[in-house]
Amino acid sequence: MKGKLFRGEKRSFPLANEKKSIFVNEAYTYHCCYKKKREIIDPISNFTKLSGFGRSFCCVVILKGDVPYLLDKSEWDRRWQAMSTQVLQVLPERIRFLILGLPEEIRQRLEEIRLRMGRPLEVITPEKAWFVGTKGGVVEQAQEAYLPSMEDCHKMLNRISNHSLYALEEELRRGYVTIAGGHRIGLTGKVVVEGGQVKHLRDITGFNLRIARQIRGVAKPLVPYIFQEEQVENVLLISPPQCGKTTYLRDLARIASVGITGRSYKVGIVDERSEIAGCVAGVPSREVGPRTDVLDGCPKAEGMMMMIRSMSPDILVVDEIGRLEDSEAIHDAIYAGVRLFSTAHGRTLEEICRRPTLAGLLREEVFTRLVLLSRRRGPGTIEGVFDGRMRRLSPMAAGAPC
Amino acid sequence: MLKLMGAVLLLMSASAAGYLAAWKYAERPRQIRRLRLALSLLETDISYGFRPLDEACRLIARRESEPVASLFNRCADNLQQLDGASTFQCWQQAVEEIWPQTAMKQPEKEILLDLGKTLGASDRADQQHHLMLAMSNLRVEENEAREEQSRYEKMCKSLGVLSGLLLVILMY
Repeated sequence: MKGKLFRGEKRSFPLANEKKSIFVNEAYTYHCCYKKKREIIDPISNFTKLSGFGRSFCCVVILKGDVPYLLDKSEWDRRWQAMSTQVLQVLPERIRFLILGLPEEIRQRLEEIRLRMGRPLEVITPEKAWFVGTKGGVVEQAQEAYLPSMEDCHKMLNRISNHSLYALEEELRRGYVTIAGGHRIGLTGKVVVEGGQVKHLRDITGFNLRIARQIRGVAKPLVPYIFQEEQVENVLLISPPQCGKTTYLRDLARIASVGITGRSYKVGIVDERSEIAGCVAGVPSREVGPRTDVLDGCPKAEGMMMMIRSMSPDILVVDEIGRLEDSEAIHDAIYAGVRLFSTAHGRTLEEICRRPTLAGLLREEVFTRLVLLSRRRGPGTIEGVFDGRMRRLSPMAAGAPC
Repeated sequence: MLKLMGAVLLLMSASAAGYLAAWKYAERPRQIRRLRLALSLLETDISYGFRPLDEACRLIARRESEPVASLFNRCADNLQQLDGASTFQCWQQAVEEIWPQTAMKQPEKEILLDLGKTLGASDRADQQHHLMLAMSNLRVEENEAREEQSRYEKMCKSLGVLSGLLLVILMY
């Protein structure tokens, strides 16, 4: 149901079998008169509460161009579910509405939402970066874009931290926070240094919300190279950031755990940054398979040893190896007969070989399958699969899966 | 006859007023003490449990008795439902709303509001520091309240009864 609405207007709408009068206050909030009781309603946080009363609420006013329009409950639900709830939940109200009002094709393909105080609100899809206009929709010009205020930044930080900065000490030191669903929020601001070490992040004014997407079956094309009858290869996924390494890794873990050709494996994920499994209170929020154990928020090197000792996995999954202590743990794991799926940053195989820790591992042929990913045909393009001696096994560049 | 009934009524209401005032004096130190306990629970939750503020408030509300429980419950509601309002606003709103139901007075309220300004907004050590400060301030208020109690509680009771009596005598 659509209808034109203007600020300060008061009218009745037939909604879900009942009439409600709505007073349009702002584009993103509205007063609702129900039983003569006037309240301001934040449709998102109160939605479930209100529908729990047995009255299907609602309409939501979204600014589109100059004309705000109403969404009824079903449309609202659809949009709400199409995007990740966890992402919307951390956005300040105003920005949340701007994002929900974006055109479908952009909303569906969002990769990043970037907030910088006093500078245009930016959204990024695989194809292009856009600014979000003050009146909704996307704009190319920075002048017409919505500028997040100091208040927006404060609200966002409050929402991310649940009003409890003290619970984020470690995260603030590292500069990013992982929220429920495995989405990652990078933070910038004033760094407080003590004794040469980063102690804290203060005056946080920059947010980069990276939306994690799970694509089931994305790693299918890799299966024949990795799972061979009774044997599983040690895999290293190589790509620059944002090419889908973690997505592939997660799907490989899922495939191994679900089982391939009648055999499934015990999988252990050491999830240092809660990106692979997206654990909330210890329970994975992403699909990682029925036989998968997750060690959440644990340093990799230590975590790998803990996993081997305590859970006896067939396959260990770790993200982004490259530090010295990692290689020690990897040796221990490999010689304990455990298979390893891992990732590393790098554009080409040569680049990987220049990094001392990884070069050592490659020279020993610890990894028997190297998979090179890129964004050439969209994120997750498989550039090639190589064996431990860097001989190409796959034909040149398979198509982009997503 | 009617006169007698009126006199009894007058006497009763005057003593009731006196008892109510006395109850307030007796209740105040008790409530401050409960509040202090609640804050120390909050401190444990923050410094050892790393629990987010809303969850911590909810837990405290479950463990404490009224009216402290409803203060923390209210605060947890605000933290979860007010759209990204600042922590202080959530806290302030809860305090303002609950205050009329308590026997506590202005000084305690100011201590709580001061605490609200720093709640959740810094690292653990700092949080602990501010909570300690609030607790020790509350202790001072509590002692004062006790003193007032010992001084005024009995007096209020007898004053109520006696003033009732006085009125009755004057009217007769």
